[in-house]
Amino acid sequence: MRFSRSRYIVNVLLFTVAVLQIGVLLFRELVGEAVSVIVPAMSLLTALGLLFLWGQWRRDTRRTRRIFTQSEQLRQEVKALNKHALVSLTDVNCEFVYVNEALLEATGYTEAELLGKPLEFLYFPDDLAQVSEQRATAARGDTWQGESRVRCKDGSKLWTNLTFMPGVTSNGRICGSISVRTDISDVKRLQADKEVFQALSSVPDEIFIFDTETMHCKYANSEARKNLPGGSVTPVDALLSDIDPLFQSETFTEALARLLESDAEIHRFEIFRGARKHEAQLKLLARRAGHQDALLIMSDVSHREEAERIKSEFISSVSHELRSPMTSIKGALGLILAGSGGEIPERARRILGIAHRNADRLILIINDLLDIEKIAAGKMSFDIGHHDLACIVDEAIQASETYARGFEVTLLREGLDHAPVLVDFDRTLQLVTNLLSNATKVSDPNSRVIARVLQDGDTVTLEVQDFGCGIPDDLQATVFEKFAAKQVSRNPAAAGTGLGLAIVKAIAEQQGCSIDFTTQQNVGTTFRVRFPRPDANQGAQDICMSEQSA
Amino acid sequence: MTIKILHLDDDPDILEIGRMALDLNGSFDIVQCMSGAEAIEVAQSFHPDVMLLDVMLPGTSGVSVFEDLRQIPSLAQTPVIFMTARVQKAEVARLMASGAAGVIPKPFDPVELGVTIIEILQRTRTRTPRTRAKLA
Repeated sequence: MRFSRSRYIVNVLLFTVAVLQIGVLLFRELVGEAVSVIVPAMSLLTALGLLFLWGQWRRDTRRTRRIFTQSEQLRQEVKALNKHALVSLTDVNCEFVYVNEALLEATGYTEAELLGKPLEFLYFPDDLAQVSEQRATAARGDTWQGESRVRCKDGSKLWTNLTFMPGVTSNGRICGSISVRTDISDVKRLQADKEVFQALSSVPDEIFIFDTETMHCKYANSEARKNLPGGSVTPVDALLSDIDPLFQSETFTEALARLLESDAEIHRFEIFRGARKHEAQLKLLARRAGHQDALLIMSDVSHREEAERIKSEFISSVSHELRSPMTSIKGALGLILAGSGGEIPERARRILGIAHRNADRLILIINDLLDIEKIAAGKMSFDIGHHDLACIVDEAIQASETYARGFEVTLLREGLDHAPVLVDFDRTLQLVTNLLSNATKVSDPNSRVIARVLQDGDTVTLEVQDFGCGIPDDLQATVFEKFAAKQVSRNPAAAGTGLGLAIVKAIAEQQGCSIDFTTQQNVGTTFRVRFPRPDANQGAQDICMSEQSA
Repeated sequence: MTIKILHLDDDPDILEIGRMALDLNGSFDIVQCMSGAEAIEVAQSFHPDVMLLDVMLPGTSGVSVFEDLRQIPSLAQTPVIFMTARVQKAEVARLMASGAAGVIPKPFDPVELGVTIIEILQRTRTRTPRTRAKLA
């Protein structure tokens, strides 16, 4: 301002001096001798004035150049800020009056969708308290800084670091707000990753994350590091093939190739580290920054398999150890009852009969325990072939007749004489025998148990019907569960292991059959097993005949 | 005509039950042994028509004894029936595949034992001419 006023005064003086000088020159004759003094003085003054003005012009030029440079710098800074930060301005009502491109790009909104909307529009309902705090801070003329979530158009959240400050007019009045945000989603993601990695580190399985293109290891949990050959090698950023020869194996490379080729998200396979078997899973992770990472989880199952083998051997061995004394007990009782030891009084015979029956029961329990163990271990083998269900039922009735006679129950077969099915003969015989023995146990003396072979379209159905007490309502849901059927038995002395129906269900289902039942209190129960009819043309009669003649 | 049977089992109670069970039938001449080595020795002088071998024996197995017996020319064709408490299908199949005439599961029914052995002998294709003559 000061410079402008002095320049004004100098300009006025110069003009005045110039006018006077012209006037003096025009009226030289009138002024006379005075001219010789006045004109040089005026010329000197003019020259000094021009010199002053030249100096001012030089200074102005320099200032203008400096302002231009600063303005350009500011423009570039704003451009950079706009590139980097998400900027928005609101008016005094906290409604958007400006949103920059970066904000629009990050949130997915258009400018028209945001302008005029209240500040809260970009927030989740849970964060509205934060908005109030920001507004209050700005209203006091202060600046709010902190982490703030933005609600994007697609409903997703965008984590930002926010500086929220009041907008101020040239005379110092608050006229709105300025929000400058930086996207910290990556930081948040890294934090989340870190938490996940911390959790993974305590998992007892070996876990690796690696880049499927560069095959560099990006993460290895502590279990994985512990099991690496050499131990001290830091696996992260190393080539997978360098950290463990396992990753050079054909099994691993094939598994990875399969995962990458297929649409499946996960590929399970088995891999050996030395003699130790590992169950492994490869899973593709979400593609990030042009990199396709994969997760590898390996668990050493050799201990588990060894434990299963020992358990299986133990059960097998115990069953054998139990069978030897049972052979002597059952044999001795059988011989006494057969009269081998001489005549025995009737009362003693009845007592020995109880012992003999219970020896049989104990043997059945051992057999059932072995079967249920095999089912649990998935080791029950099935030798599937074409058989006639009617023949199997006949054989089961024949095998169960002595047992049924003990209960004064008659076993009958009704329905079709031939019904071809695709099953394991021995297991299906066991299924039918179990159903017959179950039906016998719940029957009253002098009643019947009917095994019926029926056919409906492509399905062959076996019905085993008893006329016993029926299954109580509260036990119906658990009738096929282990040890559940035991409670259904009418005669506690005749109760089996409670495993029979569980074994029946397992045998039925593993052969592709379905099983259910209908029951009515004091009327009886009918179990139904539906066998899919085999497509083969071979007649069941031929099979049955050939088996009998063999 | 009696059938000469050699019965091998390490359990004296089972041997006793076996003897009594076969006596019920009345058609067997029984010699019993408690070890594989004894069975091999006795068999060479006894010349049994059938051998009933327990599978689980201390220090050896019935299958191993069976293989040793097969090396003796005079016993190479004698039918062998195994008795086993391991009644799993695979185990029975393994025993049958080794060349046994039959497998009787333990515990056995003493009343039926003799009949079962005779039935197996009738079925077997590798019976000796002498056995065939006795069963005829």
